[in-house]
Amino acid sequence: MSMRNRYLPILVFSLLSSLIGCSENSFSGAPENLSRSYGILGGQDVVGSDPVARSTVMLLNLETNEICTGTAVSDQALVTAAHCVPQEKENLQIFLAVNPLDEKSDVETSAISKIVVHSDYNAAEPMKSVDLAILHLREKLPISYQAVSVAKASAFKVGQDILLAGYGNNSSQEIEGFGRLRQVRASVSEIAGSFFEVDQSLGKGICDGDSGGPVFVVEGETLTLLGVSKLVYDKKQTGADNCLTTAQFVSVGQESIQQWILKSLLQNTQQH
Amino acid sequence: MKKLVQPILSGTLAFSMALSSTAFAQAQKVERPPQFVLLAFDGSYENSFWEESREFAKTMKAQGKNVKFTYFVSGVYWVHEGNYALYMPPHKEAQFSSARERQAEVDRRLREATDASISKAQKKRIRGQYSDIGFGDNPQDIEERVNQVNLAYEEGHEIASHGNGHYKGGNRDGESRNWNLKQWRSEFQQFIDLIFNVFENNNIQNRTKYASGYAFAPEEITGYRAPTLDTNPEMFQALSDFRFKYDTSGARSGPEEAIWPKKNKHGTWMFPLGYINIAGTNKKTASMDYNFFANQSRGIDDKANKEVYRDQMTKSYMKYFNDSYYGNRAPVHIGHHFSKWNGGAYWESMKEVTSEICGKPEVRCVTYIDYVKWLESQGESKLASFRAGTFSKVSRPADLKSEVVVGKTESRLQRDGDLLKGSFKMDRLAKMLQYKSAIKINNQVQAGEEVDLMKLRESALKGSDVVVSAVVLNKQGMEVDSYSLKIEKLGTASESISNKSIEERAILGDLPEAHEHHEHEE
Repeated sequence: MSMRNRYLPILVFSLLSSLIGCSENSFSGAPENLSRSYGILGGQDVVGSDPVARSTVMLLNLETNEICTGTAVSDQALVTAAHCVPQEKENLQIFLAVNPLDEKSDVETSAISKIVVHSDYNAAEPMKSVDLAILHLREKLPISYQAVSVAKASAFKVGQDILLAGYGNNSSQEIEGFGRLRQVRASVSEIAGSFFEVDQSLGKGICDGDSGGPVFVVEGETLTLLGVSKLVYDKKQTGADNCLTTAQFVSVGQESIQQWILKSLLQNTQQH
Repeated sequence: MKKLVQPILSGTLAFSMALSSTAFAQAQKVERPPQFVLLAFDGSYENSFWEESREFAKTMKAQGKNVKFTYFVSGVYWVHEGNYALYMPPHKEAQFSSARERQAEVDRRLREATDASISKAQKKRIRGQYSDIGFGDNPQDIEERVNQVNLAYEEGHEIASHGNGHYKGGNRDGESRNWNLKQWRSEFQQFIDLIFNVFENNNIQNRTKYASGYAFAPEEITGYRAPTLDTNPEMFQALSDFRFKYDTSGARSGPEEAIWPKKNKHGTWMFPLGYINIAGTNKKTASMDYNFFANQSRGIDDKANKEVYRDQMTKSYMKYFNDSYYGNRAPVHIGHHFSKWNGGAYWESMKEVTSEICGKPEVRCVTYIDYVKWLESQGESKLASFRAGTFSKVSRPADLKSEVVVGKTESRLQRDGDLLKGSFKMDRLAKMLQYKSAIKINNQVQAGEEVDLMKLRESALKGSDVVVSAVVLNKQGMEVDSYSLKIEKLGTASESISNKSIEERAILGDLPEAHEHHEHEE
């Protein structure tokens, strides 16, 4: 079997025509209406057996000392935000655990063989930037990990229910809560080309450290990747706390981006 | 009984009404206040720095950025070394039972200063008992300082007081002199005398265009910053007696966010410095240049790492500013000295930050007295609303959602006989970030995690001062944490090791070392 073929069975691009009836019970954690503020913002912890935990990893950039999040899109590749990756691939650490900072937890790590950054990534213009990178791993992810497929952008609309996940802060004001995988349900508030947005003014969404993390569509126990976390901005000009504004995500289901992901994955395969 | 109860009931009622009134005031939605930035210097010795700082403000003005400084000047720089005895430190005055006795001592010391039979070294030692930061060099130097002060005032900057000999007159710790009210009053009176009797005291001609020699009157000096930020209640009483309007001696601990000022019981505005995190580290410090210098390189010049230090200060100050600008709009205080430690890293950073923020919408980089005027024009109700934050916040720019993190660490040095042993703690994140522990001697990394003082005495210059540090370094080699002890007079009978770390001391702010280079070697 060639290296090229190794990816193909896993890389499933699914068409999401119906997302009604997502099973809440399939996902771990306490109900979201608990009074305790808990989650990436307003969410809840993810346990190890959860499908989210089986596809999401924590990234640590040793050049900038920044924390980010990534998602498995094949058994040997992750997608994340381009602004999360260092110049030298050796300076990006990948941690495979839901709570890697816990002294008691067992943490596996994974090394990177190659980083591919999207050609439309431009750090100077974050709002217009396709902030996306593919991380090729030296070894396959552990068998407990499961790559997610990528949704088609044409299959979702404003109001789409989504699940956001990441290792970032659970406070919009303090640097606290990072390093634990959390998830929160939200809905798409706007779609524009390669990007879509979520209104986080009610306290549910991403915050610092969630960059590169997944936006999932959930159907039963199946997760499909709809987007990658990128930034927040004060779209409504309310002057609200940093993360209680509007989040912008790269729409990985957008056709050209889907193709770029596929091409990037194959690119590395061909090098082998 | 009825009479006793009655006033209490009245008092309770009044209190309740006051609460309601305050609650009402705090609930008022008000227009967003400007962001005030208070940029100041302590000291005032180097005439070239007076000029340079003024020139910088002019450059900013040419770019449409209005930048005004507050200069907290030290009275001893208004008297030349030969006439040092014209200043009598308040704690020395206590030994005289009358004004005549005091004057006799001043006259004796003045004669002694011109006595050729006394060596220069001996004179310097004696002089050192009259100021912790030296004196003015000579009449020409002082005349130029008067000129600079006048120019600064004319250009809109403020002249305020940093006392005289930089003595710790408060009651903060064992080194403090805890001056009484009479001594504080003497200190403030002598400050005015030293500044405004400058021509007579130094036997120089008033060549200024002002009859008094100054563009401003004594009454216009209304701000104070205590040397080493060391205060006591008597100081605040004396400030009030001398009609100071504000004090900037506060060194805070606790939360990092900027705070809205309040008046003390004497009616003096209290403007504490910021207490901020040094970016990328576990270190906290006052928003002052010397404190960064002490924290980053133990007060030892380290030009090789200038860019690291400059960058850290800039990021730290920008976070301090941004948190307030986009948040509660409390004033931002930055206090520097007329010094260029670590290759000028801090002065460059101050200029960089000033240039970045002073042109922003709604930002006012003004003198302290102008800030006082603004505060007093607002009214209590409006100020209460500002403190409560009942105004719309300004929008932050788009913010990428990666997160800079710092692992938790703790470094210590423990003495075990002739060994100084480093002890280190790191959490898992610190290990993930690949931090490393190390020992430094005078900022140079050493092999191992302990220092043998016996060997150090053999290798280092006898009688020298040596700084030993236990540090945690990040992957870039930048210190995340440090704990440093100073060994003084190494290898001599009077060798001693400080019992407080340099970092703990540095947090106090405005240490005398920040000015000590001003006492010239002879």
